Amino acid sequence: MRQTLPLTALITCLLLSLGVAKADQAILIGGGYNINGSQGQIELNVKWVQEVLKQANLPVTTFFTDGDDPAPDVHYQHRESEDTGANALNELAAQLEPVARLFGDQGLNQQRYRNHSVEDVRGSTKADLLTQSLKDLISSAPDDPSLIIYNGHGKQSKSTVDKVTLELWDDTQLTANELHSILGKSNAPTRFVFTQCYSGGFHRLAYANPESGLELSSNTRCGFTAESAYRLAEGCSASINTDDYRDYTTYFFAALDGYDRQGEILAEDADPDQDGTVSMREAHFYTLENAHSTDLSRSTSEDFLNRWEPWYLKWTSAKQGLPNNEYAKLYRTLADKHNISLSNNTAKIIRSKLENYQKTSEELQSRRHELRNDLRDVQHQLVQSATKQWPALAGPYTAQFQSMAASGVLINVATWLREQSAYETLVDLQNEDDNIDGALLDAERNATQMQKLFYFRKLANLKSQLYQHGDASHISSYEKLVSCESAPLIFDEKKVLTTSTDVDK
Amino acid sequence: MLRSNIIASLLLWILITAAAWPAFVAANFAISWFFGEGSIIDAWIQEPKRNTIDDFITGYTSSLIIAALIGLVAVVDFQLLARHKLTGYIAGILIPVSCIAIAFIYFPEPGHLLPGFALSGFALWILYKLVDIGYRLRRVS
Repeated sequence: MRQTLPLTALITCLLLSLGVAKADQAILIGGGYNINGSQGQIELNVKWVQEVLKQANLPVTTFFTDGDDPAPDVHYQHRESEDTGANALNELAAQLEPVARLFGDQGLNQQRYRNHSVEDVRGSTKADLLTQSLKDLISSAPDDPSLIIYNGHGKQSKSTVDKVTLELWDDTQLTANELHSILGKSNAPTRFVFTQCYSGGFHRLAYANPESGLELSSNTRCGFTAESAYRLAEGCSASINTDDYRDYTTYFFAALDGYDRQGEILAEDADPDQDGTVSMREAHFYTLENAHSTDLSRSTSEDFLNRWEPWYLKWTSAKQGLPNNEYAKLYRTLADKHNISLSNNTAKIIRSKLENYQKTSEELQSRRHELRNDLRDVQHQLVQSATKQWPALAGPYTAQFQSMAASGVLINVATWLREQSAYETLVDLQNEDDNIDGALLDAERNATQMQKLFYFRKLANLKSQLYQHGDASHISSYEKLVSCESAPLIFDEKKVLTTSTDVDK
Repeated sequence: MLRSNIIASLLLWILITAAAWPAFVAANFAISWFFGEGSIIDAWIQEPKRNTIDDFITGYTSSLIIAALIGLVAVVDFQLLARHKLTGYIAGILIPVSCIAIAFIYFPEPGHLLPGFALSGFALWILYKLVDIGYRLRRVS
């Protein structure tokens, strides 16, 4: 025994001196919960992230919707402007547009279905299959650091935040609590990037008890989420136009890659410490600063600060000046971007802007409500006129309707509709409805930027308060999380262990 | 006479103890609203109301000992100052003073918190005065 110990130490030293590090692995999970919840945008996100990870030489194991089943599992919106070669279905959709508009199905008329085109898919995301695959992956290499990335949908929890779910294929779910127990089999650090709605609940993965408490899990876990456990995330649109992308994935992985989704080099430097590597924390800060979206994103260390906040600080008003830390810097940069001057009156200015955006949202919603009432009247009027001539229109999914559709009468209905003056009004109202949707999204995005400013102010104060009021164990836990987040894409365990004291207070 | 004095003191102690935390929350919320600061305003919008209510209850139970001490200060003030004509004018002064003292005891940098603590003390002083006036009216009648 005495002889084997020095031998083991010698081998370990030799391996370390040769630079042998534990292998990293990325687990990429993506797709919707069924065909109608599986937007083409998610697929494009997964493919792009897969590419970024591969370029960073990080082995990726991908799980997507139904795995290798050739059945359609992705839908996307067909756009005439993007049409590269008109096919029969698209021509028919264009001809039937008036009928689809009349019955409020224009969105579905433009929707197309196909099998996914994600490469190297290991398996399905169906909850039971995914759970088993994750258990196998982790138990086969329990000492390998892993990075889990999820791109899909999530659901809110009505009880504790650890019950938020990943909405997986075939309408199955995996809660944060269940994932916490799967990760219990790993001895290595685990990081995660979750971009779905209500993703903030997944920060509980980092804690020893998924339901409550501030004690961290024995193996380091940290991550980044697009939203809190209580808010919807941006990025579930069915658009496949990459120019529209403003979700967390788009900014976060662009920062890590150095290039945006169109392959353009980033205009702004995502590596402020100039060490030549963009850490995940730097990518998160880049996203917070640059994403003009409805996401109020957060990292585990930020979640920790919020949870740590003692009862006697929670209700007090913040002081006017901010402490000097990274969140105060983010606050100043974002305020500058929105032309908000920094003075003792700044909070009031931000709140007044926030109120204006919220008022705009309310006005738009009320306008949309009126417009939809008008729309219903016009639709009702047109449906009545149309069903007088073609009574079968009133009963879709019936034999009479099928007989009418098969004989091509629907095209005649569409032609007749085009000649009606009310149809023009219908098109105008529906187009205005679409415009209001766009304006509402803009107002929400603008309001979120103001909320982000308050969020940065709060974090700047909380971080400073932690060092004033927190005990040593809380400060140590916080620093451990910051160190974990500050690691680059390829996890460097040595660096994480040694940088825990380098946290900027 | 002694009996009604004891009842008034007990009532005052219970009232101040029970109202201290709500007064503190209301005072700070009002200041936050007025100056636009205060994350509680954002939490009210962004988080489920049940979280805010849970936080309020946690604060209520955690602050109960301090609240009881303020209640005790109010009773001492009532016995020493409220019952004499000369000192009656400044009766209740110890409540805001003790509230401000708490800020200095518990916070290393209490400067920006003083208005909140002072306003809470003022709100509790109003309650104190109501009990005081009630007691006097009862004594006169």
